[in-house]
Amino acid sequence: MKLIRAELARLFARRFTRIALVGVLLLLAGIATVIWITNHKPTPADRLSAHIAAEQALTERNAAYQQCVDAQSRTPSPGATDSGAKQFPPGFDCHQITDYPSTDADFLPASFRLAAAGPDLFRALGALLALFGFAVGASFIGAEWSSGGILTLLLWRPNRTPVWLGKLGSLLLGVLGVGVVYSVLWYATLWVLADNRGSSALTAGALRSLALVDVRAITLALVAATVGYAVSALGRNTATALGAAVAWVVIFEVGTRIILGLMNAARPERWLLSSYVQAWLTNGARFFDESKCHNGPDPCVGVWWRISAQQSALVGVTLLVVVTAVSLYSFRRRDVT
Amino acid sequence: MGSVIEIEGLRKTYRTLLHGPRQALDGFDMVVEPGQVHGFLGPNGSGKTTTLRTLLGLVRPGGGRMRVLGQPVPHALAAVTPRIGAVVESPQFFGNFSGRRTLRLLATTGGIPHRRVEEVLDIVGLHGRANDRVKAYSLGMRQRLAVASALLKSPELLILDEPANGLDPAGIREMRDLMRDVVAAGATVLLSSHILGEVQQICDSVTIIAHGRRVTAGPVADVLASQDKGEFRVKVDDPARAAAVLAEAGAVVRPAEDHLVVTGVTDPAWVTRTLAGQDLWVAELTPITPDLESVFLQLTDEPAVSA
Repeated sequence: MKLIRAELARLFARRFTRIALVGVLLLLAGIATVIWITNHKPTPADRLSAHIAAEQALTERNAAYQQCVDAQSRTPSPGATDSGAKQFPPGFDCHQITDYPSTDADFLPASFRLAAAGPDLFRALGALLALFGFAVGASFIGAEWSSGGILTLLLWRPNRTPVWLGKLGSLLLGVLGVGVVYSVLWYATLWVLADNRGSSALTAGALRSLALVDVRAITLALVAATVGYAVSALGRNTATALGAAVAWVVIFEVGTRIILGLMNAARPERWLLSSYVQAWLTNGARFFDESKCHNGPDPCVGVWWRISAQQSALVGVTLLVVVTAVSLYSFRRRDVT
Repeated sequence: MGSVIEIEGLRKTYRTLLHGPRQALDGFDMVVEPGQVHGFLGPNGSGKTTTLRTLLGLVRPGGGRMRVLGQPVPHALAAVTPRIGAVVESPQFFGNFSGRRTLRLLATTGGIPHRRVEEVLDIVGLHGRANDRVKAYSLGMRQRLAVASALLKSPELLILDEPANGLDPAGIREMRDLMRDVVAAGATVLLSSHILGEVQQICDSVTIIAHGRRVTAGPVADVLASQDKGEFRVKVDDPARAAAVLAEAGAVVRPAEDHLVVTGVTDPAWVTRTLAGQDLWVAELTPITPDLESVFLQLTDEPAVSA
């Protein structure tokens, strides 16, 4: 407990941590500013004009539907110039016109609705927290190795497993604390934005859903912090983790994507970690398998397939277990020379 | 009370893919008695730092037996660590923290009250710069901070690896006084150093290591005496004739620049008497006693790093 307390104090005393905290805050402030500038709350005049426009669109749509039905029921005479027949060729499904009826909201100026935009904005927070967790986690032990802080610590605490776990525990507590505080701040910011630039109305279900997205976002940040910490501890240098991250993106995300595309491989997303991150944040993700699209002259009949949140959790846990086990084993066994 | 440190047959081989195995310690032995300043000497790469790191659990031994403060290590290291203060090689601290914060974090880790931080800052003379960042410290100040961190625990055993590195003469004297104070308070100091004159001044006993093995050990006076060859420096008006006379009388004589070095004589009066018998009058007769540096060079067959 003493170790965790001291390491937690060390974590937040570090300049890198403070800069990263401010950096995340500035990025969130930037997003909030863009939302503030590009949205505004509809006035009664906006609502009236939107209602009129929606009514007009409805009338036009009904007229078009009728025209379509008429065109479909007539047998066009050769050489006739029927505009309806030209617009709606034989076999056209007239219900397509009425499938998506316009509402007043379609004609309102851009406004920020918390219920609609909240989940994506909390996913953005999750991505930023994950980046923060990875970089701070890597630096927390990497810089200590480089500066010799770990050696000094081991002169006080010679049992290496508790040291490794204690530092990781304090890191995770720190990232969790930052995640919770930033989530509350982010929610408060979004609520104020929505209240002034749109609608802050949230049903209980929507609020619960938003909370679940946030839990997933913070979990992702904790996993990223653990991976950054473990890889950095393995290489005894912050650069190891950052290098591994860059190599991962270049080789496995960009390179593999290109090669699998050239090979016309089936379901290439299953080999990319980013697909599982996406699936985790969105509680499952659908992907279109285009490999079937190039097999014949017929229109593409690709297949939709899905990565579930459970599958992404399994991949995440496996990655976490392997990286932390190797890192801890190395920390326990290797000489400090 | 038993020995503070007992090392028997310690072995360590470093293995690297690039350079293959390298034996750093080859059956090394050392005993440090309580209440002493014990010097630990050896050329670069002789195994000093490996020994200290192995004692402190930083390096895994390949074989042998070690006991520190009566406890087997590394097995019982966690139990004895709170009683050991150590500075291993260059001072290692995070540069962006102040000296005070560095010590406070260590104190929190070890469950030591923060008032002890102020005490040790006073002891090492860093109080005035305690709030400066460590990266702004000179090497000497970092060295003091390292010693302060080792003193935080009020240790029974203080292990110092090259503590005088970067210190100016006044700092070296302060360090010497500090070690004496620590020993006077009942602790034991194991001092690894290249500054042989310093070691000779302050240490009660020494162990000399070369090529991973102990080459000699014991009280400083005994180690010096063991290398005493009974040499005398003799100055006379006519060195050539004096050399011939002494050689004829059975001494081994080696001419030097302005004097003779006479070896194998136990009684200096014999030299005076022999030369006077031939009307040769001694202007100077001085016993040549070995210092630690010459003993070190002789035993390790390596050039010592000068202070």
